[in-house]
Amino acid sequence: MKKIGLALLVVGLLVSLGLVSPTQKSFAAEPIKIGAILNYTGPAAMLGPLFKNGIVMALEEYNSQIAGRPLELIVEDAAGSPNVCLEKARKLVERDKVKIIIGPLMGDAQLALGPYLANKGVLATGLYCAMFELTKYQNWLIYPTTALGLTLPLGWYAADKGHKTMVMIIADYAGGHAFMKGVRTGFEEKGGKVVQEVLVPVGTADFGPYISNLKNADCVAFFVPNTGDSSRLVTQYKEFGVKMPLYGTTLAADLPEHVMKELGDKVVGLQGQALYIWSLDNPVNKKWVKAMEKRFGKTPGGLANNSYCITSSILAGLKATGGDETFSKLWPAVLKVKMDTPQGPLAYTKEGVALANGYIVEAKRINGRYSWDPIKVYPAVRDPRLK
Amino acid sequence: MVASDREVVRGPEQVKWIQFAPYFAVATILVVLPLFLSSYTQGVMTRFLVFALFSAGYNLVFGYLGLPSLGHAAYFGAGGYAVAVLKLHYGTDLFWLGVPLGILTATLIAALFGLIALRVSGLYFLLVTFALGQLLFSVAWNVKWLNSPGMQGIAGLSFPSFGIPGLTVNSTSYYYLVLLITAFCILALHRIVCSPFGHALVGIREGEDRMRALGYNTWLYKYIAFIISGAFSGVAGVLFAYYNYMIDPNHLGVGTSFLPMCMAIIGGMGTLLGPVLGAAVIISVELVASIVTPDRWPLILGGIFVLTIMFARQGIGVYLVELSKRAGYPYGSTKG
Amino acid sequence: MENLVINLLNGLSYGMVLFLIASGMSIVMGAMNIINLSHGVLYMIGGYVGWTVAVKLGAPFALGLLAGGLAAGLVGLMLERGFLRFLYKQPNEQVLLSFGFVYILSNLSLWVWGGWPRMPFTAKFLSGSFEILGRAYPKARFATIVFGLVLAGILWWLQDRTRVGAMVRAGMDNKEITMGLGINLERLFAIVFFVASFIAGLAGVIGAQLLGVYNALGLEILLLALIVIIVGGVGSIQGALLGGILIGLVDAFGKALFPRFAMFTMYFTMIIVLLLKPRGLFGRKV
Repeated sequence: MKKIGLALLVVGLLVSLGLVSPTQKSFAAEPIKIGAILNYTGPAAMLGPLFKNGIVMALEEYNSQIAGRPLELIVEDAAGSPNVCLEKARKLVERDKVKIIIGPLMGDAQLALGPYLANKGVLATGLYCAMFELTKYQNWLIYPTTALGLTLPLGWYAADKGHKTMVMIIADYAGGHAFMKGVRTGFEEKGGKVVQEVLVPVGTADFGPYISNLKNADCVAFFVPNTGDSSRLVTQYKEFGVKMPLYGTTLAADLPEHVMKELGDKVVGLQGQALYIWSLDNPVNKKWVKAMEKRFGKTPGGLANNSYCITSSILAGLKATGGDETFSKLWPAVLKVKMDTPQGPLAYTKEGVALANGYIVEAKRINGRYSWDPIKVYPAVRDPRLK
Repeated sequence: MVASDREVVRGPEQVKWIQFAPYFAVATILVVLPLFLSSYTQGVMTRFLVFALFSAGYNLVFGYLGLPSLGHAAYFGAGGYAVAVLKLHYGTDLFWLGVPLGILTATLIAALFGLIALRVSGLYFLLVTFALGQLLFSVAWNVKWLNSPGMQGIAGLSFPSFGIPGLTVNSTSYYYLVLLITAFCILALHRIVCSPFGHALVGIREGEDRMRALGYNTWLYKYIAFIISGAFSGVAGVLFAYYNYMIDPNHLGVGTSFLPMCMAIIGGMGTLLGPVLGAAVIISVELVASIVTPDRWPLILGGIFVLTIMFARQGIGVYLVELSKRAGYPYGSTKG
Repeated sequence: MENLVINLLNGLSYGMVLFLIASGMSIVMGAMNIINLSHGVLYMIGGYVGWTVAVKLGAPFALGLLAGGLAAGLVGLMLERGFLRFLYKQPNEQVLLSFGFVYILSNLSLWVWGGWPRMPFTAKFLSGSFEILGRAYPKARFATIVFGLVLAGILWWLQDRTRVGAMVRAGMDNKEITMGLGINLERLFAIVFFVASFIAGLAGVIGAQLLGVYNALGLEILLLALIVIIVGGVGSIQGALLGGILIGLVDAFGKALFPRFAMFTMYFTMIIVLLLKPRGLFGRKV
């Protein structure tokens, strides 16, 4: 057998040269490294920059240093795949030696990372809720609450409106089930009954067949992930002329204002759960929105709020430890953090789950501008499974 | 392409030294260097070895037999899922259990799918293997038993255990384990392609009717090669699952099936070591590009594909060999 | 009864989109022996350009349709003239090259149009719905069915009844003899590739009425196209039409009857067809 030895040699050398980690000597002002796994390619590619803005804002409020140690942000692409997230987490932990990782977004990816990050003693966070299952590792900061806690208020709200029966449209993956379990829990708590669960695959192109076969009920609630799925569902629901009122989840994040504008009057009147809206009436928020507009040239939404609040609470914890990011010191310090955020008051349970406001919003068109209007607040929502 | 018989106008000792130098250097890199690298880099090299093995096994069907399979992830993923299911439902990561079970699963599925896929050839073979792989993908997605609670795929895997008290596997020892197995498998593949059986495969690629006229049962040859290739993919899948800590339906689907194909073409598909080289190229480009530019790496990777095809159509490996020959340092031949 | 009719219409309209997606790719595969994996990306580019013209610039939908088709056609022509024409009869190289362009073109689109999905859009007179058997049904879906059938008719006529079609079919059966007859196959292939890409672009705009446009479409559409081609067989309009409608109906009734296995039904149908007819329902020998 004759071989392609030279070629192997060249490439092998390149690979090894490219990979040898630069040796880092520890200086007094060694940076505190913070890893972030955000979506820059793949189906949620537009979300990465938004999350990053929130993180950058929080870092800059501390002038990017704590206790004389500079703060260094290392951003990785999640590429929308749990497996890639795990690879990137290993790179961050083993090569860059980070002790704090912000993200990833998808529940699947978080569960994939869970055992690994717990083992390595890394402070981990989701970006938009997380599965309750992660609380068992005792190293996940879950903001604004668990997936179930997030949608609980929508169940309450639907029951408060006098609805007795409900049909649920559920994206058929772990996160989808968790979100809709929240709606169901809230609805049943107040005496409602779910008469049908319609499971739809993630990335469903045509909801027509599902919409054509819904049972009769007082209302319909849905969770489908991403802007694409949500907007198709809302559009097609309207086109098929279904008369039952429709309630959505994670609305302001999935259908932000520029998307509402494109959807036009189809979306007006849609109600549902949302986490944050730029127009929330509190002084912290007003100041923050102005600062974000000045820094990034656009009005922030719920995603920037999330990454901002998460990063801020971690930084507050770091300040309390005097810049020590060791997990055993940082974790209890972060759990003690209490602060007023743009979204509202924020505190953590001892499992690491945030207690924050839950909002119900309605899509309105005021003076030609489409926006989400908060119509009801449920303060400090708590997942009933927490102690 | 027979280019190996070209006269070399150099002293025999000199040629000998030069011819062995690359192997020596590669061996040094693969054996000695990892001792001095971080666990992360060892991980990346483990990943390279796994995909080198996967694509070398794949190439038996693709390069030697000339059948473009777009579904080899089915056998790769089947091996991985065997290991993952053992861990998820039976709580064991015993190496002596995982490896045979993984190979067995992959081989059985290859034996079944081969019956369906080998009824056609060429473009249709590509389509049929694609379809079979996607079928497994949708099964893995939908069957609860094949998923960790709360997610798609199975997480929480770890390096294998050997049932020997006091012996724990870390990223260094796992790297050497994978190196050993990969080297062994590639040697085995070498024996196969150099045997009469291997020559028969090339004969079938070049003219199946002629081989049939010579009395060969060409279908049986193809079927056996397909199963062997599936088994090697299964080994790679097993090693991958232990390394990767998780396995998900995408490891059975078309995205993963593309990898060995791209690696084989980029490295040089008619050769045994071409796919190995291709794996090195793709793994390192993917890695470096996504570190350098997290949001533009697809441009770089796609660009490499296009450039390879336009300027080094035989594959980068073969191209470099030709180049070395033109320079007067023949490092090998480009087998047909 | 009305459920049956509605599901039938749903299946047909989705099936027509699938037909439009797959037909171009199938013809290129059959007539030129070229596997163009960037076909789904061409669809996506068509959709984005159509959106830009019809929604952003506010031009009539028909103009958006034309612009989408032309944009995809031109990008396709560039691929064929610049790259694929050097790769005739080299399927493996075609696969790698066109897959490279999936990466490149998707990422470039991300650059130009950003990551936010574009909402479904349609012509003014097609928005809204009308009553059928007492149920509302969207007009745009009817239009999709009609448009698909008309285009299928035109393509069928081109393929079976015209000189160009005859030349393509001859080229499919025996390239050497066709060239010997003095037919300029190079030019013919360029035309065929342009038309196929043009249809992909049209499909992108037509499909956007149901699906909108987003960056992951390139690969999703490619998978759908492959499934339809596997079921229908390579290289014929009839095959793509039948495959598209069959998969569309299976999808619609699958979602209605066994919603739990929505993803499974499509692949399952594909395997059944493969077991019965390995070359698809209308497959030619390639």
